[in-house]
Amino acid sequence: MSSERVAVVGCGQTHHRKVRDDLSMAGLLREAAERALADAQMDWKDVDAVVIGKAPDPFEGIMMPEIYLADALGCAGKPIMRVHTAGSVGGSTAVVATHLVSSGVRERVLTIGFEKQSEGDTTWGLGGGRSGSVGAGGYFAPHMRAYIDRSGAPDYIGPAVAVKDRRNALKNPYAHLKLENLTIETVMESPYVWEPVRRLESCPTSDGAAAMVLTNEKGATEGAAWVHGTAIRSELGQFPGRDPVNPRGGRDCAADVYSQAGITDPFNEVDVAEIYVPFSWYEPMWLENLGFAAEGDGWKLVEKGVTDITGELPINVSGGVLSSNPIGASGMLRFLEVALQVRGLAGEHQIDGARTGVGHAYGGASQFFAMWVVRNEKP
Amino acid sequence: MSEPVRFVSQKVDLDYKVVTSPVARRFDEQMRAGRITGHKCPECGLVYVPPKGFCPIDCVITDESNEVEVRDAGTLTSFTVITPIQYQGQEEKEEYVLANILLDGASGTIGQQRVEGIPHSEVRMGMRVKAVWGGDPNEGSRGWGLTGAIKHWEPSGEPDEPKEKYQEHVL
Repeated sequence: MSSERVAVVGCGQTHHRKVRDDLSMAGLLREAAERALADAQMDWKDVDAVVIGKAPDPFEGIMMPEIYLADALGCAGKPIMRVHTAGSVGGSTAVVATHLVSSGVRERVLTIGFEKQSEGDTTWGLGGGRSGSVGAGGYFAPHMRAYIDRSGAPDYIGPAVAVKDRRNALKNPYAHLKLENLTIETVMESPYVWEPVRRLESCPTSDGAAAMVLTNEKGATEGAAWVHGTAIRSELGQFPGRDPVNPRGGRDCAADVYSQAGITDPFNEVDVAEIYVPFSWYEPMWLENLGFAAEGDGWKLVEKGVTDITGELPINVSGGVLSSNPIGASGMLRFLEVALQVRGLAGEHQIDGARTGVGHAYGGASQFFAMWVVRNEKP
Repeated sequence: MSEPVRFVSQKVDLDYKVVTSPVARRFDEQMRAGRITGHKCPECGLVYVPPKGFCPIDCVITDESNEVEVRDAGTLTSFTVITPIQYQGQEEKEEYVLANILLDGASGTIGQQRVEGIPHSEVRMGMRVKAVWGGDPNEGSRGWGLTGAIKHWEPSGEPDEPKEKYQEHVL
């Protein structure tokens, strides 16, 4: 397949918070975009096209915000498009932006994922405005219970992930939750919200945005991250035989992206990964689904500290979705954070010598998956 | 000192009519008559409850000629105890159990079903449950849910099913 090489030359994100009432929705996107453009040493006029993504519109109650955002994003006379894949959208949006460049259609693309949860109510939106909405946690809780039952994982594994990611977030100036001195005991003492998931094992609701500037080889700067593979998979939300604990779509997505990047042994060939973990138990579940651990063994990596920032396979060193969840940005932040890692620009949570990074997002009823592999060297 | 105003909530009233598909309408009529029905795919033999009107695996259309009745009893395959989040319009105030249930005769579970008549701490995977009929027929199930006819599920008293029976049926 002849295609253009794609470089990540700019990364920017907002300071994610519970409420960013200092900014409008458009202002939130611009804060991230201007930081990405500054990082890329570009201006709005240098951008050929913009690709944005957010979670479903009922979450803020503003239908098709891309229409009103076009002006604020410098798109007068330029193409702008919106991607919709629920929670995985930040990842899928980055993949679509990558394809605009790799296909040769555009040379310099700005991509942004965002959510302003404070201006709406996600639980209300997920329930179609009716009583009885259980939110994403209520839908996923039986899947996590099934994982615990199947794997025989001890009950403190979920809380251990919650503690690890919040400790990592203390090193990330952009992260929303800053929970000092969190311990497994304090997490286990926090109330259940969607039993077996406790409040401190769940992601916060955040306002925030993430932005990246992607270019072809001609536009690439020194110290760019290079995209070595992108993949998207989806499957129906429910049919007999579908396994939400280890979904086929996620396995296929991982196999595809590894094959593009020439990865045959993900555990040993990947230096750092950011995977979509909105509820603690999804770390061991996705470690298995993405081929980092054999089925039933994901929790053992957590227990041994392998996924700690000092471990052999650091996972979510930015603090992850458990520490910041501006939904539409959450997937893109996973992609962006691994790009920062291979560029050596992650600051206090930098993994020394990171050369290969994997970004991952999932959404809907655990049915949409998006991934990319980035490296510090050209493909 | 009063707090500065940061947000003003604005409620929107929206009346809308949902056009029910023929498959959902038929399912709803059967539910009101006390029968839980599904469609059996003529290719793979999987039984979909509620019926979808097609088999997503074989991509074939199914209709009334593929209709089968399943039992109003089954096995609880997984569950959660919900602490309801108090958003605008939320009427649930107390903790309650929502379960995925594999009905006898169906190939996949029905999701988010209320289980009553048992302390929450005693609900377990593999537990056998039966329907308690007599829900509010005017409650808006939009034709796809079971809530219009079934109030909730309760333990049937039968022995629990072993792991192998429910483990592959999280959904």
